Amino acid sequence: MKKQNTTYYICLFVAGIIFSSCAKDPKIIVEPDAYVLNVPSGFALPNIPDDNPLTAAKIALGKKLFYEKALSVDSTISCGTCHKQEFAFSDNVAITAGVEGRLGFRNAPTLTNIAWATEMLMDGGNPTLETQVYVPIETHFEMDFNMVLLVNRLNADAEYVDAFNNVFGSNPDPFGITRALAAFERTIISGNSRFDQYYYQGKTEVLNEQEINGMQLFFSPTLKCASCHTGYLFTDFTYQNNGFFADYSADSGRARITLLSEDVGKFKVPTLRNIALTGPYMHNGQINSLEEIIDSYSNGGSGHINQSELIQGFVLTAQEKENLILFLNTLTDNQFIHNPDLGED
Amino acid sequence: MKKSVFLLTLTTISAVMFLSSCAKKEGCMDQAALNFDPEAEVDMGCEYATDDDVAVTLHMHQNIGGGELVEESMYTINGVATNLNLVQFYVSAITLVDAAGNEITNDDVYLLVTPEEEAYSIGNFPAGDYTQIKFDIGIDSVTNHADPSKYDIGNPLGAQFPSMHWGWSFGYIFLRIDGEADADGNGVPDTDGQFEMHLGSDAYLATIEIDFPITIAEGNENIVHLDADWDTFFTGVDMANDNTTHVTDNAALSSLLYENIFNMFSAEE
Repeated sequence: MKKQNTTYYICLFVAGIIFSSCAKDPKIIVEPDAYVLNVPSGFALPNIPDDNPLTAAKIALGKKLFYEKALSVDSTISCGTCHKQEFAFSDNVAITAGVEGRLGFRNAPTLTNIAWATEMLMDGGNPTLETQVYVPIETHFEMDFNMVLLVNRLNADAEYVDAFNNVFGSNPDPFGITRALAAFERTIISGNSRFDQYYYQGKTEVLNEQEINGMQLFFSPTLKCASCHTGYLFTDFTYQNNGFFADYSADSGRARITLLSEDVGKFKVPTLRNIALTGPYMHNGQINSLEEIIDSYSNGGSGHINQSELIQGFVLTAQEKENLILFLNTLTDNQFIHNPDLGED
Repeated sequence: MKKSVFLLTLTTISAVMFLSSCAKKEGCMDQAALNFDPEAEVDMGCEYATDDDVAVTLHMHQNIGGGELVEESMYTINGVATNLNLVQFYVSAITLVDAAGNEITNDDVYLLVTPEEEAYSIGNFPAGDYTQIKFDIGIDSVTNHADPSKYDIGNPLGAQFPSMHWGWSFGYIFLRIDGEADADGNGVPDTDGQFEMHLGSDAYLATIEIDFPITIAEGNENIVHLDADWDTFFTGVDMANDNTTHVTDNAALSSLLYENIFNMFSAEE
């Protein structure tokens, strides 16, 4: 009888494992060296594409590529040149120069929690982290290289040939390059700021009164910040015209992709995590401080025809404004910007 | 004991059934097959051309200024000295139509056409008499937004050098011309006059229909000869001053070039 029960439970267990492996739940990956993402308290699991399961070796290869200057035509810049860990994987200048000092037209966005992003680029023109890899590599004012030439370059490097064969069972190719880089980028996770400790980890003592007041203002129906900067990601990934500018002729934003006039000046709502580190702000990096941001919103924006109707202005005392900025600073995750797993070796 | 064997069997059967029904997409995994599916992860068989069908070749003769177009050469286009350094475009959805209006399409043939290469295999078609050839300049909207890294380098839809794909709007460049025009009027193309005419995005897919008799027969060479006339393509373009477009940055020029595409192809006389 006892033996029969044991067999019964083994059967259930085996069925359980096999059934779970079918689900899209990324926690259960049947590969022997499966990597389990360290997902912070309060966060849902990100979607991991079926064709790019995470493994430790793949993530390590992706990290090597992320900091690899050979991705650029003249081997002068890497992904990490614009996406610096100390600035939460963004940069501290308005427009970061690409090869030969060439300037594009957009501020380098933070990669904080990019695994949860639903579409890539500020205008949503590219669908996945994997397919996005082509953009910096082939853009004239970024790396100005070419995927075919990059594959040739990596195939001439014995270390990369070994690493790709180890991870993918094949020599460096576009599939492996895009999958490895995306796998590493999915580990760029920030969820241990003082806000997180207070809000998701129950450590009520980590925020002071001013910061708590700032948090209440942030989530208040008067300021409406959290209408778009919502949830644990501090964004709803919608495209909004936030009325910072009157003229979007230099960069029409979402309209560049949709060609619709109602999308002119709309950009994807960015996360506010690590916002104190990711300035200068906005798509063009023309706004220098959190103070200026609050001023623009409290003044009700430029009144551009596509401006979000949520932006109608509000009044804050000097103390409240200071508190709001103090709260935004609690979203800085110091463990994240010093995490050696994410930094250049 | 008997019961536990039964349980074990039941579990195994249900698990195997469940496994085979889940997650991984089934389809043909051979890039050489007619029904290759780049998304497929489980090979469920491929279709290849049957023996009744006959291999057909397309010859694309590219002409400009009364002669053959050769890349990295200088031409006078609309009165402006112009170097054409790169000229290439996609041809897909190649269809033969018979007198009764029946259409045979080789959906899985995508050609990246360059002046260097005249002859392209366009797959197998049933032997017979046809009255029209139809094809797209560009890539259908489904394939246009598929992941190019799922194709090998060397496949027309895989990564190319120079690139035939836009990352920023995620789709193929249907037609790409790079060159230099004489911007300062001294009769010589200048590096300052560099231009790019890159057409893409779903709205710019052009379906071309050319009526002429085509006979496909076993034992014949079965070559379909077409002309691409680049003078027609450049009709109405101010080559010195308004010569660059990537669609969204110069919709007027893109629209003009797109309209010209419909008139530039013909059956070789």
